[in-house]
Amino acid sequence: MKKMALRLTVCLLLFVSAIPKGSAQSKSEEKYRKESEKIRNEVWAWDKPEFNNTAVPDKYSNTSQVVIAHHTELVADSRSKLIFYGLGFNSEKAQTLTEIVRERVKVNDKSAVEEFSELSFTRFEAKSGFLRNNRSTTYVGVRIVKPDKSVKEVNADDMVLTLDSDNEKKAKLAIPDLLPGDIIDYFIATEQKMSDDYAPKQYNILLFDESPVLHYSFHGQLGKKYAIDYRSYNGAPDLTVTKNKDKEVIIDVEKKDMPPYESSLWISPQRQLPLIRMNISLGYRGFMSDKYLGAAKPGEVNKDIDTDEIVKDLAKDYSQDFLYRYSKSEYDDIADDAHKKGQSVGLNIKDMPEDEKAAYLYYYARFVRLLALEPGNVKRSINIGDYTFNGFPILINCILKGGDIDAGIVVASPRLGFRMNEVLDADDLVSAAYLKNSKKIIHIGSIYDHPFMIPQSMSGEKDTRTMELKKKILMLTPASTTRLASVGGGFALPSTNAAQNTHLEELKINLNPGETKLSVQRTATLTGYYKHSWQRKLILYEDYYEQERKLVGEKETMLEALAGNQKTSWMVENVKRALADARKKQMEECIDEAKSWFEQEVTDLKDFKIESMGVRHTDPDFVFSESFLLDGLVKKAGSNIIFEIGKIQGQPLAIKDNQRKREQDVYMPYARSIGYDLRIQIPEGYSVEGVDALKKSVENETGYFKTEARVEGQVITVTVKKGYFHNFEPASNWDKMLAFMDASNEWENAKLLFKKN
Amino acid sequence: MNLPTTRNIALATTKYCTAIFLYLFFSLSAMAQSSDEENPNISLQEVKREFVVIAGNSEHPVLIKEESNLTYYCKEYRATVQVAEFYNDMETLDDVDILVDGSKKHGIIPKKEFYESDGIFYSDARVCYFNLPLKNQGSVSTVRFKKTYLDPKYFASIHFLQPQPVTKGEVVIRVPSWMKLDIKEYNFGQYGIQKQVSQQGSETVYRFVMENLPALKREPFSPGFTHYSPHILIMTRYAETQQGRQNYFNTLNDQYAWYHQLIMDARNDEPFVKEKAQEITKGLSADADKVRHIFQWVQDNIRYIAFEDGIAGFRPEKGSEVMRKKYGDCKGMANLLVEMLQSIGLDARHCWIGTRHLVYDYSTPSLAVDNHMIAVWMNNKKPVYLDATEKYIGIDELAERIQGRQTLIEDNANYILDRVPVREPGQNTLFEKRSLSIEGNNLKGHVIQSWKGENRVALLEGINSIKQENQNIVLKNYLSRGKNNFEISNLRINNLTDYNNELSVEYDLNWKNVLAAFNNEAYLELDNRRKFEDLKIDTAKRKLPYWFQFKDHIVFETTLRIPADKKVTGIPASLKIERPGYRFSGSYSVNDTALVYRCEIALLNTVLGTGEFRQWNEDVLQLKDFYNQQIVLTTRK
Repeated sequence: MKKMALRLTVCLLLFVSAIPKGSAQSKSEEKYRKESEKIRNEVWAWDKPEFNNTAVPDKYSNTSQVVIAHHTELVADSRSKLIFYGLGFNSEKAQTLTEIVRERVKVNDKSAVEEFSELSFTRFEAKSGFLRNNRSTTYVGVRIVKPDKSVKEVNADDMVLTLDSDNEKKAKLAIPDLLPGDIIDYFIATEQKMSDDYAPKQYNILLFDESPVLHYSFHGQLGKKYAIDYRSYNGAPDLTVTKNKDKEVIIDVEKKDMPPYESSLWISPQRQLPLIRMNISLGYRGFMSDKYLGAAKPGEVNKDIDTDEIVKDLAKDYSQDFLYRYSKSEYDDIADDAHKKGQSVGLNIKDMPEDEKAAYLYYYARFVRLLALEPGNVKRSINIGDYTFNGFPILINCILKGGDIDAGIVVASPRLGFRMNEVLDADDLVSAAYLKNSKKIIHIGSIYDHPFMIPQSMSGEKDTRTMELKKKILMLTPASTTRLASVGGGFALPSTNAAQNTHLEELKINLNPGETKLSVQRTATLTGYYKHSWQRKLILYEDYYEQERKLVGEKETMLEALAGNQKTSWMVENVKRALADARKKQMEECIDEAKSWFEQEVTDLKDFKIESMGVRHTDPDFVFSESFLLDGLVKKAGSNIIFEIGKIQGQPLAIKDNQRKREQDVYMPYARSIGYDLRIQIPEGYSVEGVDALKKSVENETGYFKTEARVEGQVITVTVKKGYFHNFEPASNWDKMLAFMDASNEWENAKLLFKKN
Repeated sequence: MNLPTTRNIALATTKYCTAIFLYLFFSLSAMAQSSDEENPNISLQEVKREFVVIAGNSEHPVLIKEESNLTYYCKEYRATVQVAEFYNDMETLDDVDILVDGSKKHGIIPKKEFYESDGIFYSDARVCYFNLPLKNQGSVSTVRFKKTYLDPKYFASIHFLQPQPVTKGEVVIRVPSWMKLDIKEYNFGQYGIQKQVSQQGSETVYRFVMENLPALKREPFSPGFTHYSPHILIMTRYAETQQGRQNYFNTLNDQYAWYHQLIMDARNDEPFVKEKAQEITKGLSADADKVRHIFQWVQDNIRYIAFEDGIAGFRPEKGSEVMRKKYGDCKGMANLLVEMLQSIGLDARHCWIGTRHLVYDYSTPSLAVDNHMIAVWMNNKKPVYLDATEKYIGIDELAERIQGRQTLIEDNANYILDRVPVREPGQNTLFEKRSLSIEGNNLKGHVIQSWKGENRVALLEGINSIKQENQNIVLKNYLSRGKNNFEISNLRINNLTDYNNELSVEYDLNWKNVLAAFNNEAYLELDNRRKFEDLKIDTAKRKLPYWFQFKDHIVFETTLRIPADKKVTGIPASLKIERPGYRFSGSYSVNDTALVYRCEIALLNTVLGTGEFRQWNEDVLQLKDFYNQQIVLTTRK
């Protein structure tokens, strides 16, 4: 549940405190109180008629809360604004960004009263447009407007401290006398230091809210030293950007009557919801400014920056990183070492075809750089599967070049992120190394990835760019560093289909008459993007390491290598025990996984075995097997048995009534399919009824749900298949999706009768 | 920062409104946060704690100095233990000393922060915490805390268990002859703790020695840990100091006198409290109606926000302030309620109570023995208990956490000791009645459900936490258990606002694909609620008694009209289980036109002892088996 947020942080010069009653006030506290009162008076005096409004349209009378007005002021070193607020903030010496967020909210029910009954930190962070913030001082003001229009101001100095250290303070405030039917009018003002900080600060204006918003506005006033890049998304209105006579940048936007937004299934906010983004930075005119450091000029205003400019900025970053890393020559060493190790297992990587060579280098680098045990951090090593990486495009480039492979970097925007032609900065982009000849992707997003896998975030993206990073330059100068990377046109990245991302369950099921638990022998096969969370849960680091050690030609086991080194020999027992601990926990993970997948009680789990880890491109499927007893699917009817076979698929996704009408396009993680191959043994002395009724088939251009069933001797064979053909569907196809999803849901009620002969 | 201490669990499971409870657990001190389950290879090789009563100054005439030394030992492999020590305005943390393998060169800087816990908006509770490394097998790291208790009243108890197993432990309390205190032992039995009392000069020395103590166990739905954790309650009586006799709680009279003075200090005579009371009771003549209306007004209009800052943890806020701010804690709400009732001439009193999470009663005067304040209306000298922190509870209903508990009721300079009545499960009945008929493979009909007592409280808490525009959807989802084939229409909610009557819902139901038809037979399961079937207790893991939240009572009835072309050819055998603590019963009966199903579950006692687990599991299995049985309908020829 959201709470209103407040955070007080303090710089060395200012001291903020919630004054316990009766204690003495310091000078700085006194100053804070005075400033606090001043800013409250200023904000309450805003000449904005929407903040005098008490009326709410009838259509929202049953709504928990209605935002009557929301206004944000963003001020940076504006001479006129400083005078207006009459506040020092010490700003005459330091450059600061000041953000004031004010809201006027009608609370109509108990849940809204509860939400606004306390000011704490998280609300401010939710309401602030900044993604990251070095706040130094915060001020608040709160007023309650009663139904009779009387206004009561809350004593905001009744805040209490919950963190009280020298350079940071946190506080919260309980709001008195707030009842359903009241209006709460509050603001939070904060400042952020910008001195010598030229990094852009990203600021977002979200034009959607869970509550209806009658009037939304934003006003920015940035001193002439500042620069701004901005863009509007998904139908959001454009910012009005002008300059005043002092050459300050003035930014305004307003929107009225925003209906409440209800978050829905399979949405990409970046591609579907109205929002405005800005990057605000201090301009820099010094040595190596925009040409070499990518810094903006003071007063520069850029609307809808060209994507290629941003990709070039990314290329500059990459090139410097590449140069730094490559100059170390360590990647040549990796390639050489890989070559030697390969020879020890009978492989001559120099003669391999390019793809195979690239794969070998990848596996070797993965082993020595990620899988290798870190003696100083055993816990991290054992849990390396929990970590995700950015793909390591530079690292992989270095290693491939070390192996004389022609490689480049392909750049795209993530498929659930901002569109490629709408990116605002390099952080919006994702990238991966690729082989220039074959255009195959080489990417490490997790320890379980393998070569030629297209990262899920890039799958199917057509609008891409490529970069080439030069290995050497003649002379290292500021100008030449910018020529280290060249940016060119990209290529369409293939998309995966439902058959490539599968979860298949092969189950042999025995019923024991008189008992309600099924004996199950299970083999599960996961492919493509389905694998990762299962691999993470079930693969033991120790086993993974051991498998790869042999394949890359490393002769010593982990413990032998530790024991053989004087610096690490003392760790052997420690590591042994840590590995044993992890192995003991694996059984619990297996039971958890089975319970969570089948959504029933699972007992007596044994014979767990990983048949294939799925960490190599030559053997990419993750396959494991086990047996257990499964409860919850068998009911009795006298001497007969009802097998609720429909529940073997757990609880399929049920689309609620309020989700059945959809106007937004559907962004799913990936095309996928789930299948069950069941072989059910008919108990001796029993016959089966209801097999034919299990058959069902619904298929259309968006997906399918199909079941087949037949009896062969004493075995019932049932196949259940469900698939989503695409990772994206237009809203017009939603009813087609509902057709097969509903069919899957209805099949949950499918039953078989085993009748005693 | 949210530390998983025993304090946390206690605080999370009760609505505490006073700092009493905080102080109780402050004396636990040096409770490392990593439990035995998290770090099975860490133990406390030695715990040595010494408490010395000394003379103070004019502001604090008697002080208690504590020095606690904890020696952590690594049995197997490198690990880190999170160590924390609590303190507050009455209990200062004077020094923290850390050695890692005998060295001070470890770079550890303890952090000191306000301690936030659920249910307390603000308190003076602080925590000092840090991560303590144990680098290798055999590594030893030690921590020493030095603290001072500024007022012996707050030195209320010492607990012996730690989050890690303790190999050897010793607690010493040195009491000078001018200090009078008594010590009572709790839960020593199975732990083999030895007590020695000796005289050393003018000091009485209490020494408690222990070996091989297990780690403190924490389990969900378990008793408050004063019920099972070995500890001592320290009852400070009085001290003869240079500043004269300092009285603490020599008798219950003293404790009551101190409490009473605090509430006298919080009296006010604001006219608007009376005006409001008169406005609420306008037109009402019967006293009981007046009390009911005022009680509900406080429940509905005063939010629970607890400030527990030093003495504020004990002194109630003035009723007028609570009314002005529209928030308060249990003391504030009780005070407001008393003032409002008194202002219109009713005999209302303050009442102190320890909820069921505490093992104590008022036979041992101490700040530790209670943790809650409520109001009492003396109705012809018979106390009617009014706990305004229990939102949505009716005036004639009582929350489980206070039932049966001893109460200390204000009676001017005196007090009355009484006990809150114990209620039957029928106070909390959840009743569902379905009238259904068969249409194809579906069942259609009408459903009425009603909630009373604590079942109603739970439902209303849920409903009121949801935005009102979503309440219907969420309620439907709750009633259907998220199943799309349980289609609800024409949902009507009756009585969301009168907490003295049951809340009910009615709706039309189309329950799809419930009948499983095979040739001329159909199989049916009428009870999709299947209450309690998953409540099997894992006896391999669970070591503590199981505490149910309240005495639940569930009645589920279904009448199914049998169509003329079908007859019932198989019904499950009835179930009847009666134990001292609970009852399960289920039955089917058939006549020419209808089948009637009835299932009733009643918890007569909220405590399930460990000795009862096996029987409980067997009974739950039987219940589950009963639910698994199908009704068989055969098509008539």
